[in-house]
Amino acid sequence: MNIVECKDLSKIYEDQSQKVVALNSVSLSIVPGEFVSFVGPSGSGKTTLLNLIGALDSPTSGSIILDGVDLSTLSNREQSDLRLRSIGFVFQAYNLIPVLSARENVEFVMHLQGIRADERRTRAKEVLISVGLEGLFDRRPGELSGGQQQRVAVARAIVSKPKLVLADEPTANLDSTTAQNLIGLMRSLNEKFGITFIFSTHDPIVMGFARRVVKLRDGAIEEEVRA
Amino acid sequence: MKSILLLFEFAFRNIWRNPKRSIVTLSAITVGICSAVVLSSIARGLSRGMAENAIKTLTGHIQIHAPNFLDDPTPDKSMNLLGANEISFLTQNGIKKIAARVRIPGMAMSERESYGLVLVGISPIEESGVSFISEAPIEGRMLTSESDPGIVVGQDLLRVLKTSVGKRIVVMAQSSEGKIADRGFKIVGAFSAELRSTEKSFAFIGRSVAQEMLLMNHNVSEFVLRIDNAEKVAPIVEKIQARFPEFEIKSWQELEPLVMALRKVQDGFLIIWFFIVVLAVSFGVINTQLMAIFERTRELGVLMALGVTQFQIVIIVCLESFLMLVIGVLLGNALGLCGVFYLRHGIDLTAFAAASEQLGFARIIFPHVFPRDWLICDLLLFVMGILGSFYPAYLASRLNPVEAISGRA
Repeated sequence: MNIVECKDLSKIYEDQSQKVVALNSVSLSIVPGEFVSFVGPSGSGKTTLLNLIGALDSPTSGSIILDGVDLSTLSNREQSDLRLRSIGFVFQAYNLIPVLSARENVEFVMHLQGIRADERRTRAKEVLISVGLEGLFDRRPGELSGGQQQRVAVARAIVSKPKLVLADEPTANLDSTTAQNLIGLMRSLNEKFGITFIFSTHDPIVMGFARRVVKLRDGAIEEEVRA
Repeated sequence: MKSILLLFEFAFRNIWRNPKRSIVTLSAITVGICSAVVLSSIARGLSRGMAENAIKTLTGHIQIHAPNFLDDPTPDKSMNLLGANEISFLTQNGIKKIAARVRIPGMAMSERESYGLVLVGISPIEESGVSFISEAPIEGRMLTSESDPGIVVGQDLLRVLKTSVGKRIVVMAQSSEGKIADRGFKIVGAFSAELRSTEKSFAFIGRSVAQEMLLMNHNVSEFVLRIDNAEKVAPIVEKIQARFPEFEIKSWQELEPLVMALRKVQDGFLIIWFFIVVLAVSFGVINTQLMAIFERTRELGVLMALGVTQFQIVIIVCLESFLMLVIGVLLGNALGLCGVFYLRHGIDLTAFAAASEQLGFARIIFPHVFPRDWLICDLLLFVMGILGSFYPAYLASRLNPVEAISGRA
């Protein structure tokens, strides 16, 4: 069974009297364990497609089936629950919670899931160590470099063992070495834990790590390349 | 909710993200609550002083009279002294002190002036702990027994009658037979009281002397009772009324309608005052939360993306308000207590003695902490603050996560 199934997905934004077609009849299937990259120029629809798959936004038309569940049938609360339990997010601007330490940021999702404190703490430490942040557990985001913050974000995204991690330009704010390290880390986590990763990028070096590259242009899939 | 502790801690940390703004808001809450509770304590102290004055003057907590005595206080409406069984009943029902008095309107005449007053026949021993007279400052001496032939009047009456301690006055009153009884008394003492009206209105003679003068045998006009807590008088009055159905039993609250009316006015005034303070402070809290929401739009979007529900977003925002209110209210109450403690020796209104006399206020107001007022004020602020913060909380919960994360919200 596909983890993601998009059928005729369209998203049109209405800005005052102007209509902007962000996605135009996109159909796409992704199987569990894939490491997929959405690439394309700005405005091609990468982020919109990620947002729709992540149940952060709803399509104007078409459907998204996520792990067998049609997102259009879910209430707001059910969508929140789905995001909490099945999807991990990594954002371009890291978007860690500034009042929480690295460990607490990672624990946050597990806390919401109702996981016991001792298990939360153990898993958060394990994941932070696995992303190379040993010794930085108690630092707040403001005390970490951009690369370190994004590692914390990746740790937060994978710690609750989601079926899918969506990363929107995760390396855009990082230098090339750090970017390669991060994407290499994501790839190793994909191979180690079998988590499906979908990330958007327009960095050719980063997209080289992907096993499947979906090229978007003007809201439509232009080409798909499998490594 | 499983995650309530997390949200609590999260909310607490969020408060201190912008310490300056939080401190300003907390200061507003603290000062608002402090002013409300200190002023309410002063107002309560004022009415309490009035009540205490009235109770201590001659009213006591409870009075027992023959029927219709209060409407027409003549010597024929009198009662026998209480027997051992009756006194035992009263003491078993919370009565701590009992004073039996003869109390009749009369007229005092000196060589130069005459003045209408209330002639009170007392047993000086019984009055101890019941009325002010046993401990009032006296020029000359107090009555030594209920058969003391002298009379003790107020300083102001001396002035009105243009006489002095050691001189004689004649007192006239209606006897139990309906005839005019008069008798000459030597002024053995002149008392000072909190209110001038008290000094002018009452003259004290021995109870036996009064009974003899007014042909009352051993009867008395009233029994004045004291209990421990003036506010818990109603159930005791009920019990005594049930035991003595032939008499009129009145609480001090019925005997002092002016004090009670002032209390009611005060209750209304305080609620309005609390409401204004709380409303002003609530707007401060709402404004702070609105600012916090606008500053944290992106973060709220991220929280939603991570799986925080709209309801949990509402909880987070309301918890922040709640915690701010808790801290502010605690500080406000603590500061208020300090204020009341600072004023513990009283606010001296001697400079405004004439005005305070007119209104029946004591010359010194001792602030009185009335926990119910503080509780009402605190609760009102919590309710208004939390209700008010539902607006920013609602706005936060309706954010579109995509727009919030991208900064377009």
